[in-house]
This record gives sequence, structure tokens and C-alpha cells, in this order.
Amino acid sequence: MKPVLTLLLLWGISAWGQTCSFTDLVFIPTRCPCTKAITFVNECQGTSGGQGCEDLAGTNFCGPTCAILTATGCNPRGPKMQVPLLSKSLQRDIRVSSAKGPQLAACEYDSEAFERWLVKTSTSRHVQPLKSAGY
Amino acid sequence: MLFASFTLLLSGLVAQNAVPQISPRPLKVSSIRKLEVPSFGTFGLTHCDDELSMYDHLATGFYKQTVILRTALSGNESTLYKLPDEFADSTAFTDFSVTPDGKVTALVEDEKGHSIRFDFDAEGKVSSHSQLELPDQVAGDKIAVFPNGTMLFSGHYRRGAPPDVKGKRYLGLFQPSGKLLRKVNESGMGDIDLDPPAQHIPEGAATIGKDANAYLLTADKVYVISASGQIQKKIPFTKPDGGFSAMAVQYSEGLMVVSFAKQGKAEALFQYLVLNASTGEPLGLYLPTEETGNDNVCFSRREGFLFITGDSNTVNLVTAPIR
Repeated sequence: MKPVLTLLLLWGISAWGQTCSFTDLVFIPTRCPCTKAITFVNECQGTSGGQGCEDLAGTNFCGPTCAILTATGCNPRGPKMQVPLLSKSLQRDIRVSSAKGPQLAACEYDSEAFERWLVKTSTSRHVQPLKSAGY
Repeated sequence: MLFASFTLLLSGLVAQNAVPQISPRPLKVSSIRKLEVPSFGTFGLTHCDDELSMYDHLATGFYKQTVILRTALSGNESTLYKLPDEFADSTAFTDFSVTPDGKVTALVEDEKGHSIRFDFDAEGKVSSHSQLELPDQVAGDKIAVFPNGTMLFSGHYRRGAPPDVKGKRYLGLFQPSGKLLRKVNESGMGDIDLDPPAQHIPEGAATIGKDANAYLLTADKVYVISASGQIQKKIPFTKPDGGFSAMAVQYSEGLMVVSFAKQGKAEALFQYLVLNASTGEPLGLYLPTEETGNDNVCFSRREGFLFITGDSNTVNLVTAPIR
């Protein structure tokens, strides 16, 4: 656990120069594949003019002004995890990250079944696996 | 006489703006159909076309990735809309739009902050793309694309913009080439809060109706905008309570639905207001139930509300008519 946290903190420090703003962190509805429930989660909205938000191993990472590391509750790879990076500018993010939702449990999810269905039902002539898109 | 006329005019204005508060009614399920579709996660809310095909921003693990999936109502047909490789990793998703006949357009932002639209053909291949001619420091929020390809763009000036415009809304019509056709009068729509409170559900949405108008949702009104950029109507509504955000708008055959959401203690709470799209008259306020779940994917005048429910292994399409 320690090395992971160290890595996260180092990552945060390396992103210190970024200018990700609060508006880049959006509270969006997400459908959980396991419960089909809509839950609201924080996601980095994007490149924000090429600055700020970066993806980190299936999670999204924003720079210091909205630094929060979060995997969504619907992340097929596992349970929701929210690790605020300590900083004076993070009060808002910590408030956000301390919120608990009902759909935070691990989600067993068969991505191969999804790929098979996609190939079988696709109207496109050449469907490429989604794995290349990180799915 | 003058005073009486003024009073009459004032009372008329008040009557126009005072939207009666109505009590919510729980939806009742009329049918549940199992779809032969595997489970998948999505970001944002589902869009629908006239055939009630469902379009989702697929949750690939990265919100910024633009992968849209169409699932036919039968569950037996799908289309995947992806960006070309040279754009896929260097751009970030902003929004997407589906016309009533199923044409898909995605808006993304590149690393320099430019907004780029991608139009897809029926097979999911990119048919064209163009960079929008936007002022500096304008970021995209919501889009709605008319059947003729003209795009209604709703965005705002970023926090890096000059103080006099920072957070101001920007509304424009853009040709498929990305050229600005005309700005749309955004007065009265309110600015964008660049520092929203924690866990604030963002307000606003846009959709295209079969009547070829765009329906732009703000915190307290729906603006009906023609393909030429004229604001045809402003339809005010009353939220169930101040804690709700107006976060989705749907249109079907003269009816409009505004979806309200707020974060409850344990789960997200929703209510759906059905309005007459011509007169603005509220026709009913509905609550999802345990049986419907809270994933309202489509609305149609004939069918009512369609919801997706299920668990890890099943996907059900639940119908709840309006009463």
C-alpha cells in the first residue's frame, strides 16, 4: 500500500505545474453496469485547453487545484476508490471525496461478453475490439 | 386608466411566469422486457432517436475518450462511433448529439482547447470533422445538431478569460464546416458558475425535436430555438425544490420532459416534469420507483418513459406510461 501512495503523491507533485481548475472536475451521471443505477461521480472533464487532467490507470487525475484521484463506482476494473492528495487547496476535493455513495461495491463485470455481443450485433463492417480504447 | 392598464399588463406577466407547482406521482410500470444485451457502463445520460435506439457515451474508464454506442431497441443491433486513431488519444469528450433520425455528432476538445466536431455516418465511421470558429477561451458545454447539420453550441468563457467575460455563456450556430453562422442571444440564460458547490449536479442540456427545433435547458427555462437561431419560445418551469438541478430535456411529439436530479443521502433522486411543448403547460410530475430504477433512457409520447434496470447479468427495458 505504501509504495502505491508514494507513487500517487509523486504523481501529484509531478502534476503540480498543471492548471486544472474546479470546473474541470464535473459531477456527472454514470450508469453502473452492475446495478443499472444512475449515480453521480466526479470525473475530470478533459484536457481543458491541454492543461490539467490526466488519466491514471483507469482513474482520472487532476492537477493541484482540483487534485483528486478517483475511480468511478462503475469502473469495471474494481471498487470505487477516492484518495485525496493532501494540499491546502484541496478542501473542496476532500469534501467531495468524503461523500459516500450506495454503489461503491466491487463490480464483477464480463467485458468479453460485451465484446462478443458487439461483434455479433454491429452494423459496422469492421468492428475493432474496444480493448484498444481502454475498455 | 393608465394605472389599470399597467396593473393588467403586470398581472398578465406574472401569470405567464408563475408556473403552478404540482405534486409528484410515482410512475407505474406497464411492461418489463429482457434485452439480450450484456451489461456496460455509461457516462452521462442516454440519448434516443425516433426509433428509440439508445445512444450512450460508453464508460471506457476514461471520461475523456469519445466512444458512443448505439443499441437498437430490440437489443439485436449496435453501432459503435469512435474517433480516428489520430484524434482518439489527443482529444477529450465534451458532448454528443443525436438527431431524431439517428445522425450522431460528437464535440471534443483538442490539447490546445479547440472545439472540434465529428460527424458520423450510419455505420459509425467519421464522415467529416471541423474545428469550430470560436472566440478564444470559449469551452463547449452542450450541443444540439439540427437535421440540416447546423449545430447549436452552448458554451462558456473559461476562467482564464478576461474578467468581463469569464463564466459568461456563449451561444452560437455553426455550419458543418465549423464556420459561425450567427450568435444566438443568450441574455437571460444566466452565467456559468465556475466554482460550483461540491456535489452540485450541473444544470443544462440540449436536444433536437422532431419539429426541427432545438430545446436548450437552463436552470429555470427551456429555450426553443429554430435552425436559423431564432428563439421561438421560452418555457419556464418550477423545480420540485431548490435542491434539484434541471439536468436533462427530452422531446417527443409535442411533449417535453425536464428531468430534475439531486444528490440524496444515499442515492441520486430524480423527478420528471412533462410539459406541453407548445404552450408550456405542465402536465404531470413523476417519480421513478424501485421497479423503474432511476435510469430513464428514453421518452416517447406513445410509450411513456423507458428505463433500464437489471444486475450484472441482465438488462431489462422497463416501460412506464404517462397517466
